[in-house]
Amino acid sequence: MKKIYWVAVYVVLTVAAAVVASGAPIPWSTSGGGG
Amino acid sequence: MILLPILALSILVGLARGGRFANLERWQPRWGLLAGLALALQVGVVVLPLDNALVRALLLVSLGLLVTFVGVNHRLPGVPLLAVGLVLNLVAMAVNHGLMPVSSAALARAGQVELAGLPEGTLLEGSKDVLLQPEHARLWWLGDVISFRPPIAVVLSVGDLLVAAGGAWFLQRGLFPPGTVSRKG
Repeated sequence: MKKIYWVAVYVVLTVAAAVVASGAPIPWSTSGGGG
Repeated sequence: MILLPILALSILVGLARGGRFANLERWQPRWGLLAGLALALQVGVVVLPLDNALVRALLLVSLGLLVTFVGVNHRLPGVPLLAVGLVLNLVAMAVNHGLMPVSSAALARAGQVELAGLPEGTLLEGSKDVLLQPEHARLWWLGDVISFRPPIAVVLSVGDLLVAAGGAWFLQRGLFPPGTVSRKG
């Protein structure tokens, strides 16, 4: 059962990474843009 | 910092609709490491003191990894929408020397008045944005033109919105087993 949740963590982190990296500008920007 | 909260909100909505994290097991993206590497490269671009040519080269590699990632996962829900957003952002950056154009007016609307006053052509620290007026940017309407006033205080592109919508769509669908959501209505 625990394995399933590790997989869920992998899926969520992968999607989050893809979304953040695909968006421009980088969201942790402290300056101008900030998606 | 708005894309991640949108994803978090999407997860909360999905769970409230009866979705379960365990169902994500059936919607695993392939080659997820590519997305992680792409993000890591972009973090490196922001935090390391690199020269401009290297920054643009690393961004290009990062975007190439992302294109590969969405290509191999194009059958997953929401990924085609994410891919369209990625391509729109890519085009906007490709025609503006590898950087995303943002105008002083857009920054001012978002309450970033100090940044709006910087000289034309300034690369905004910690971002992929370059300050360009619409008349000096190519395809300016694909750049960061959608301003959110404080307290959100961000400027997004059309591509960003599609990327966020694609990610949110994936999570809404992925929290349910295949073949169940449409019937639940």
